[in-house]
Amino acid sequence: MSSREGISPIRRILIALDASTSGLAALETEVALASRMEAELLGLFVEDINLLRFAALPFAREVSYFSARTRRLDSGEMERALRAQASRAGAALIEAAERQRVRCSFRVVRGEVTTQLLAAAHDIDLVALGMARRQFRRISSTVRGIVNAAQSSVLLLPPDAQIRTPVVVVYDGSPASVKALSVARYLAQRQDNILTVLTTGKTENQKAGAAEQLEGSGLAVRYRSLPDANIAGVAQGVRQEAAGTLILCSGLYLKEGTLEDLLERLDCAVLLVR
Amino acid sequence: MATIERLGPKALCARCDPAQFTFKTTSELDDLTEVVGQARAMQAIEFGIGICRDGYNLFVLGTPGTGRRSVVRQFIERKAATEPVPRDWCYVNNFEQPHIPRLLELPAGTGAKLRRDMEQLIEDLRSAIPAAFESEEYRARRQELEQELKDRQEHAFEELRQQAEGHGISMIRTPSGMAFAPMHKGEVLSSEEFHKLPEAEQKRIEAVVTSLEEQLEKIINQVPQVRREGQRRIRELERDVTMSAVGHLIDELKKEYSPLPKVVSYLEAVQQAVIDNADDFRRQEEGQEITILGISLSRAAAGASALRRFQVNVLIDHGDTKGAPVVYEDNPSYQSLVGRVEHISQMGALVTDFTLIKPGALHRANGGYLMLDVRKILMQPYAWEGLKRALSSQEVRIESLGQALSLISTVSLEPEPIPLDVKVVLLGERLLYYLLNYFDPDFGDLFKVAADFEDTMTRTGESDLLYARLIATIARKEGLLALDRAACARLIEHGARMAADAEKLSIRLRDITDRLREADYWTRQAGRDVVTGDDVQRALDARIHRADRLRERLQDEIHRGTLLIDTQGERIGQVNGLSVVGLDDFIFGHPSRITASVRLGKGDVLDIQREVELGGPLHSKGVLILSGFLGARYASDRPLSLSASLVFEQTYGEVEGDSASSAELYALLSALAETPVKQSLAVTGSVNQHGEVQAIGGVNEKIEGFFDVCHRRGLTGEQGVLIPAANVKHLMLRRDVVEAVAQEKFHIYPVSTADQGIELLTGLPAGLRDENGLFPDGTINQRVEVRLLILAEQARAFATPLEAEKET
Repeated sequence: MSSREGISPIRRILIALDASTSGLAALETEVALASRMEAELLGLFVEDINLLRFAALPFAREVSYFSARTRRLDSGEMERALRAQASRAGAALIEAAERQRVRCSFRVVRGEVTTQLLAAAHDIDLVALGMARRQFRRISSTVRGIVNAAQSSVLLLPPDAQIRTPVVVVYDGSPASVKALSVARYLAQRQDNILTVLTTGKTENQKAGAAEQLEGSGLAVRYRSLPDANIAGVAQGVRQEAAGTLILCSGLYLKEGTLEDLLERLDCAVLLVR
Repeated sequence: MATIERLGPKALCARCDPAQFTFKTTSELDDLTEVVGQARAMQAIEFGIGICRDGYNLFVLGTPGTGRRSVVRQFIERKAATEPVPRDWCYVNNFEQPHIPRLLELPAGTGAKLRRDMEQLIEDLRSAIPAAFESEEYRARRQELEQELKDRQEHAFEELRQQAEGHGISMIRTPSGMAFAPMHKGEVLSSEEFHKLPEAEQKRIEAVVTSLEEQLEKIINQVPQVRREGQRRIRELERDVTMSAVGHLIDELKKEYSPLPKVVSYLEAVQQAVIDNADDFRRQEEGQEITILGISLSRAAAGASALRRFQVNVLIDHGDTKGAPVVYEDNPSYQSLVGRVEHISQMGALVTDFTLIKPGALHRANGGYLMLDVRKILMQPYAWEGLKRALSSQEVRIESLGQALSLISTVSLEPEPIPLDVKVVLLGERLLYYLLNYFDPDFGDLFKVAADFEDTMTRTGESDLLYARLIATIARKEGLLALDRAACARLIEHGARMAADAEKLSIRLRDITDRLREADYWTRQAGRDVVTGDDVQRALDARIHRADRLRERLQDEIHRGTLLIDTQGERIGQVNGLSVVGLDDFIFGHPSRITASVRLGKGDVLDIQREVELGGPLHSKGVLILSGFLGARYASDRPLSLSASLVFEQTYGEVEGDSASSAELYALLSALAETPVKQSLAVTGSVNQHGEVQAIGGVNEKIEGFFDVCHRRGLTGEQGVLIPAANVKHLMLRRDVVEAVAQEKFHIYPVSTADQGIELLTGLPAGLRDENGLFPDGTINQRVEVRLLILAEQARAFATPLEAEKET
């Protein structure tokens, strides 16, 4: 997975599909990323078993987002709705992939969403998740489950986020962050050749390490050290840099709080490298 | 028989004696400061320009070439220079009703300054507004507001979610909404599991779910309201930020323009518009240029277009004007008078805005003077109506012809009309003035002052020197060589000839100037530096030569006998009449043979010209007068039993005018009296029913036309022309004619009555009635009367048998 030879560090991307507006918007970004990374796409639509169970209940009703009215649901209707969603999502994936000349496959499974995604992600480099609008900045249980349990890298796309410039990477000198830097280098080279490196801890050592790794990349690199390697410090640093795409390693050391807490504070696309 | 004295050479041309002048050349003469011979017109102009009342606009009328335009313009410019400079006029955007642009009246020169100030303001705002929106304060505040909005929305959902979780129920997303599902170990309770629950528990769950759904409905219902509230607060923030960037800039301008309340009010509107449309200024920084078929589609371009609203269209800028404006509009079309609204093409559609309003001549002349050629304005569709409307309403309303005539209904601009205070000076021919006066009821109300330019001035002792000074002034102004005294004298004589009157001088400056230029040319050709009398004569001869091809042809054909004209001998019923031909401004005369024949008839004098529709009404009138004359003089107590025919021989075009009526009378009398007429004489003059000979036009050309025929055949000393005595004062004959008369080779007779004329032509006395009412024997009149008596008797003889038959 070294980028020095120009080989993409990400070859297979799993996309968790749904047919929501934010999901379809994220799809465009995910396909674009696959194109840039020269990766293959695997689209997976999970028919949520919980929804089907719910629809079978005698009092199953839903409150519409649009009309705020309550209406009855039944299993047949729910199945049809999920099939229609799956069909829309699949068609959107194929259309976008063809447009950007990306190889892709699509399948539909039924089950618990996190479990199914994790099961499908066993030989995958990256799982891409379009995030619905979060409530109180909380990431959903599905996202949390994937972030915590997936063996592969994870791309999180908040609503309206895209793989934009500038590419910003957080580097703490750990082996995981070396890998994150490698992915960042590859991505920046395929964008605008500008990379911002946020260092934590012993700045000079980290900067030297990062510089060594980026040597000969042809990138314009900007280094900035974060005074505090806590959640607030990293989040502020990312905001100040107006990061378009943030690349983190999964084992990032944070003085206080967890990676999930950090993710809840970010609005840009986040690529969590493992 | 009374003897008619032939005219002496002095009566034939009022010479101008060069010796009367004391100067050597015109370079010694001062320029004329006054306008020669136009006292009446100048008084009218002075009055018309001086009076400041509605409708006192000027109509300067007269023959083209009298120098009206330059005289009037000089006069007005002198007056205008002493008058105040009018105010500037600008159109600015009306932010509330963009199709009715606002009008600003500003002190002279302030319009351009306001335009520059507004350009600077917009330039400043283009950097200040994006900078304000880039500031950390704005971003932080906006983020805070957005977060607050989100939090408000989410708070309600979160509370509900927590409340549900308290009951072991989860809020889940369905394909098109939200639902509440009972949970067990992190999974939704299945139907079977649910039914295994005690009935009370089932009911409890259902009741809780129902209650939660009701609360959710309320929350979702409130979402739009909360969102609107949030947007309102964001807008307010943006307005505050814009205001911080705009406020002090606009305040500075308002302070500067505080004496002009309308400008201050406009600036306030600008401030509001900038605050309401801050996005237009922010767009400048965004987006690259996107064009399709050369049409820019980028947001930046759209923003730049939106910023046009803040421009100032300085319609009239008097920053560099001295005094009141004097405008001469050479092409007075409707739009060039009242202004126009131009359009630009955008994506195939024509669009416009207040910056595309263009002024007309009325705008430019507002507060001053507008000169127009009436012929030109009448030839431009609707221009005359447009001018009248503006003058009547005292305002200029810019609307296209399509709008004015309600032909189009597309959206266009309706700029506020501009108050009009202008003095219009129309220049035109007399005919147009009288036609407008007669046919246009508004004309008299709008053009109350007429300045009538004379074509001629009276020739007096002093006028010759005045005319010489006029010549000197023109020569200097035109950069021509100076003239000596003889040249001046010759031009003065020519001036009288142009006026066709020995007692008048033509003041048609165009003709005088042309003659001077031509004389200057010949002088320079000869290598001299002062124009002499010979040069002037050469210029006059050359000009005639250039124009007289037709005259020469006619003379040739008479000489060759193609056109039959006798210049010696005697013939009954045949007289040499004289007529003139006018070609452009070259007029010449030539003789025409007029013949008469008589026979028994019912008293009609048949005008052959009229019968074939080659005689004009005046000519017919002259012939009909002859019947009146014959009846009154010779047959007042019996029927006029003759039928006479009169012919202008060998004429192939229309004959008009009554100047040949005396010649026709002589031909008729000759035919009736059977007395021959001398062919060595030619005749001109009209005659009335009492036999008095009346003045005619073109007397000089007519005499010269007959003289040329006789001269070419060889003057016999018998030849001459009978002219009306009233025309003697008009004689300004060529030098060769005058010399021939002086040598008694040619004669000119002033005739007052038909009797005098017939005596000269026949050599017989005309005859007066004696105490018995009879004409003496052997007189023309006696012969005529006897002939008419015989004809009457013959008529009666023819009539009697018929009467007898009727009785039987």
